[in-house]
Amino acid sequence: MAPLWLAMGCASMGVLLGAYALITTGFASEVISNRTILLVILGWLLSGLLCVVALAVYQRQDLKRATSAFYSPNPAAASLRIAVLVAGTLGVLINSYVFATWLARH
Amino acid sequence: MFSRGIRSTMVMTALCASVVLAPSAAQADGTQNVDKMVESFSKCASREGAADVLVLLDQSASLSGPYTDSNGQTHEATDPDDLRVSAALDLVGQFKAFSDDTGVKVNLAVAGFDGNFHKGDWTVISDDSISAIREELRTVGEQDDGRETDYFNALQGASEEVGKSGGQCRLLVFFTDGEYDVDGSYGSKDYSEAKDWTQVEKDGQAQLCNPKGGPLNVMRTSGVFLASVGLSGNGDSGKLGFLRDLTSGNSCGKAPAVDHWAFMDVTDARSLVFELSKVTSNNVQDARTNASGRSRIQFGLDPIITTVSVLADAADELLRAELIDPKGKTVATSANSGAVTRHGVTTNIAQVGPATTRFRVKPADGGNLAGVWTVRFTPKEGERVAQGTLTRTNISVRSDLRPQWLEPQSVLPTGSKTNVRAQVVSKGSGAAVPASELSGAELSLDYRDASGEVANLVGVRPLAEWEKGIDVDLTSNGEPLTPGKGKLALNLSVKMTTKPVTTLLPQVTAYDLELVTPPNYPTVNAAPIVLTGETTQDAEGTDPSVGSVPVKGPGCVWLDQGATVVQNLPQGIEDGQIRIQADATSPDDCVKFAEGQEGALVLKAVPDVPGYGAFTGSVVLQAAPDGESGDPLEVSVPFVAERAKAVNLSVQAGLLVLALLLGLGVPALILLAIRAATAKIPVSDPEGGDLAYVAKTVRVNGESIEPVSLSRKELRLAHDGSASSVSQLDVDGVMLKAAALGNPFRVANARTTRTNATLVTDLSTAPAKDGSATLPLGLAGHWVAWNDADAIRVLYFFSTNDVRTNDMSELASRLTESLQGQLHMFAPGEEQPVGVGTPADQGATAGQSDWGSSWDEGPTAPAGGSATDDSRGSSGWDDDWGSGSGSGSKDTW
Repeated sequence: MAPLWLAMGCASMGVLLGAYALITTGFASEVISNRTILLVILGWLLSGLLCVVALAVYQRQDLKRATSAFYSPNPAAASLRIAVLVAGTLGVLINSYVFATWLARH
Repeated sequence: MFSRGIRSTMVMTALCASVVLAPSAAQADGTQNVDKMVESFSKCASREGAADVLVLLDQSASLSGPYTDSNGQTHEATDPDDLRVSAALDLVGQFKAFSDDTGVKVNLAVAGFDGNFHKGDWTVISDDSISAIREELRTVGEQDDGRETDYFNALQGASEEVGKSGGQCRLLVFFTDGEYDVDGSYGSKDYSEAKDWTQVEKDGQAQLCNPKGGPLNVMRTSGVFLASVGLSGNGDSGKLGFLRDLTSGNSCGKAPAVDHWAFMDVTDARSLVFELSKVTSNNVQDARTNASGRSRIQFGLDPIITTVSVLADAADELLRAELIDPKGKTVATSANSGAVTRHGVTTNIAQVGPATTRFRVKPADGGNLAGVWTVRFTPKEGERVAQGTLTRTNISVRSDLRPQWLEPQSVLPTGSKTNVRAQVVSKGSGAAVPASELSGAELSLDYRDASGEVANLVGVRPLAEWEKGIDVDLTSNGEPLTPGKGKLALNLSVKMTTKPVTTLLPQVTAYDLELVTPPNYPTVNAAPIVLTGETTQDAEGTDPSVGSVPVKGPGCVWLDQGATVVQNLPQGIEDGQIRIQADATSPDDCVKFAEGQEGALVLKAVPDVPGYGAFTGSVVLQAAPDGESGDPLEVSVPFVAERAKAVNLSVQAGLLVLALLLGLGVPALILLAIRAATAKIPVSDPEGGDLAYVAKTVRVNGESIEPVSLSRKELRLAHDGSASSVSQLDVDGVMLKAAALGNPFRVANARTTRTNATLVTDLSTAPAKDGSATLPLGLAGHWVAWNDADAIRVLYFFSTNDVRTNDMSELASRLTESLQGQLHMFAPGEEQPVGVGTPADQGATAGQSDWGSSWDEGPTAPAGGSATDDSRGSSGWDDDWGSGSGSGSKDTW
C-alpha cells in the first residue's frame, strides 16, 4: 500500500500546489510570480508523471502479492486507486490551466 | 611675505589639521544627498509611528567571482567575502535600535534580484523576529550565482512590493555591484521585443526613465524613499552612472522629491558597512593616522543625549578602536565584544565588519553622556600601521526629549484658525523641560493629510513662542487643507552646542487629527484608493479599472476631469489613451447626498488600448455644499492601479490542450507501456511459489453443490517453471491470455476462454455472451468453471506455498463457499455439454505435462492425473510440503 499512498500524496500535493497558485493569483487573473510558476510545474509533474510512476510500482507489487490464494487485497485499495487517478487528473488540470494562462500573458 | 619659519609652521599646522581633524570628506566622491534623505525619512517614520523598509540585494555572480559581461569584458569579483551581508545586518541592527528607542514599528523585507526579482516576506522588527530576519538576510545575501543584473525587473518587483505595504513611509535600499546587464540567461524580457540584448538593456533603461510610466515613477509619485548603494569595485565607478541617474532623477524620468533619494558610491567592498550605515545616520568624521599609526576623532554630546551609537571604521585590522569618555577614561575597545559597563556607562560592542566596530552607549543609573568623547585608533600591541591610513566614525545620537501639544484636538474644521500651545517633555521622566533650559530648541508644525500630502503649517519657531501659543491656519497655499483623517506633527530641532557638534535628528510627536469640511459641505474621504478590475484584482485588456471614493452628506460631489491627472501610465499606453470617468462630471449631474447619508462616487479608468503595469495619479473631486450657499471645495484623492497583461486566448487554449495532452497523455502512455510490459501471468516466483491448480468435477444437488474436497494428490503445476511469468497459459483446455492492451488506467487481467463452454469465475457478475471470462493476472485464489452435464467442472488456482503452510481443507472450504455463491450463474441445458473429465481423461494438457515433467525431476514424480497421483506416496508428499517451509523452490517441490 505504501506506493499507493505515495501516489495519493503526489496527486494531493499536485492539487494543493495548483490550488495554492489559483487562490493566490485570483484564478490566474493576477500577476503570477516565477516562484509560483515553479510550484505549478512541480504540481503538474507530481500529479501527472510522478503519481503514475508510484501507481505503477504499487500495481507491480500488488500483482506479486496476488500469487497466493490467501492474498486478500486491502479493501481500501480499489477506492484509493480511483481517488489517486481522480486527484491526479484534477491536479494536472489545475496546474495546466495556471501554466497556460501564465504563458499566454507573455 | 612670510618667513620660511612661519611658512613651515603654517604648513605643519595645516597638515596636522588635515590629519587629526580632517574635514568631513569621508563620503566617497559620488555619494549624494544622504543627509536630506535620512532626516526626511526619520521624520516621516517618527510621525507615522511606522516604516516599511525593503532591502533589495544584487545576487549576480559578479559579486563572488571573476565574470565576463555581455560585452565580453572580464571583471574581478566585487564582494567575494559577502561584506554586503555584514553591512545589511548592521543596517537591520540600526533599524532595530531605532525602533527600540522611538517606538516606531519598522516592517522589513529582504528581496534579491538577478535576471528576475525574488521577493521576501514582510516582518516587523522585534526581539522575537530579529533572528529570523538576520537568517533571511544571510540566505538572500549570500546567494550570488545570478547571470544577469536586470534593473528593470528588480525595480518593477520592488515597486510592487513596497506598493503592497501600504504605509506612508517606505524606503527601498537598493544594493548592486554592476551595471544593467542582460544576456538572455533568463529568457525574453516582458519589457522589450528586441532580439539584440544591448537593445533590450536600452529598452529597459528607457522604460525606467519614462517620465510618464515605469516602476521608478510609480515609486516617486507614491513618496517611496530610494537609497541606492553602488559597489563599483576597483574604482570603476563610471559603470554605475545609470544607477546614479535613476536614483537622483538626473535625465531619468520625473525628478524625485529632493529629500526622497540618496546615492552611495562604494568603491571598495570593505567600506560597505560604513557606507550603508549612512542610511540611518550621517554624522561622519574621519582622520588619518599619524607617523605613530594613531588617529583620533572627537564628537560632542549635549546633556539631552540619552543614547549614542558609534560606528568606528579602523580601516586596518592592525588598528584597535577605543571609546574614551569626556573624563579621558576608556569605556570600551574593539578588542571586546558584548555588553560592558565601565565608568558609569553601558556599552554594547559588536564587530560589524572588517576592522569595523559598533559601540552602542547608554548611561548607567540615570547618568548622562554630556561632554567631548573621543574615538582613538591605535595599533595593536607589537603592530605597526602606516601613516595616512583613513579612519572614520559615524555617530548616531538620540534624545528622550519629545515635543508635546498642550490641549490637543482630534477634530478641527479645515480652513479655520486654531491656537496651538506646545512644550518639550522628557520621555523618561515625563517632566516638562522649559525653553530656558533648551536655548537651541525650535519647533515646527506639519500636517499630513489623508492623501499623503504633507503641508508645513508653521515653520521653525523658538520653543518659547510655542509655550505661549501660536495661531495656526489650517490652510495650504491659501486653500483649506484636504478634509479627512490625517496627522499633525510637531517637529523638535535642538541645536547641539558641545563641539565638535553632533547633529541630532528632529524629534517628532504626531497626533491624529480629522479635518472636517465646513457646515453643509460633504465629507470626501481623501485616503488613497486602489482601482481594480471589475471581476479580478487587476484589470486587463481594455477593461476599466474601477474604484470608489467614500462620501458623507450633505452636499453634492462630482469628478473634475480637467484637474484629474494620470501621473504614470501602464506600459503600452500613451498619454491621453486612458481616461478617468465617473457618472457625475459637472454640478448639473453631481451625486447628491442627504445630511448624514454615506455613499461613494464610483470612478473608472478606461484605456483605449491594452496595456499592463502600474499606473498612478490623482482624481480631483469638487464637493459643493447643500443648496447654493458656497463655492465648491476641491478634494484631491490619489489613486493607484495595476493592469495585467491580457491573456492571449488562442495561445492559452493551445497551451492548455498541450499541457493536458502531456500531463494526462504521457502518464497514460506510461501506464499503457507498463501494462503492456507487465501484463503476464505469474507462474513461478522464488518467494511466492509456483502456480498450481486442482481440476475438480463438482456435483450439484438442486440449489446447492456437494462440498468440495481437495487433496494434494490432485495438485497440478500450471507451468513447467521455465519462466516466471507467461503471456498465455493453457490449463486443462482453458486458455488464459493476459490482455496487454486496454484501458491504461485499469489493471491488466487475464482473458479466459474454453471452446464450446460458457465460463464463470469467482469474480463474474454474469456469464458473458461469448462464453469468456476474466480473471486477475494473479490467478491464485481464483477459479474458473463451466457446466459439465449435471455437474460443474472447476479449475481452482493457488500457489504451491499456499499448500505448504495451510491445510488443503481450508482451500476446499473456500472453493465450496465461493462456488455456492456463484451457483446461480450456471444454467444446465443452455449449452452443449462439454466433455470434461479428469485431467487424465483429457490427455496431455499443459498442466498435466508440466506436472509430469516437474514431477519426473522431483523425488516422487507423479505421471499426471489421478492415477499418477495415487502412485505417489502420500506420506512423502506431505513430508516434502512440510519441509518446504514456503521456500517455493523447484528443488523443494
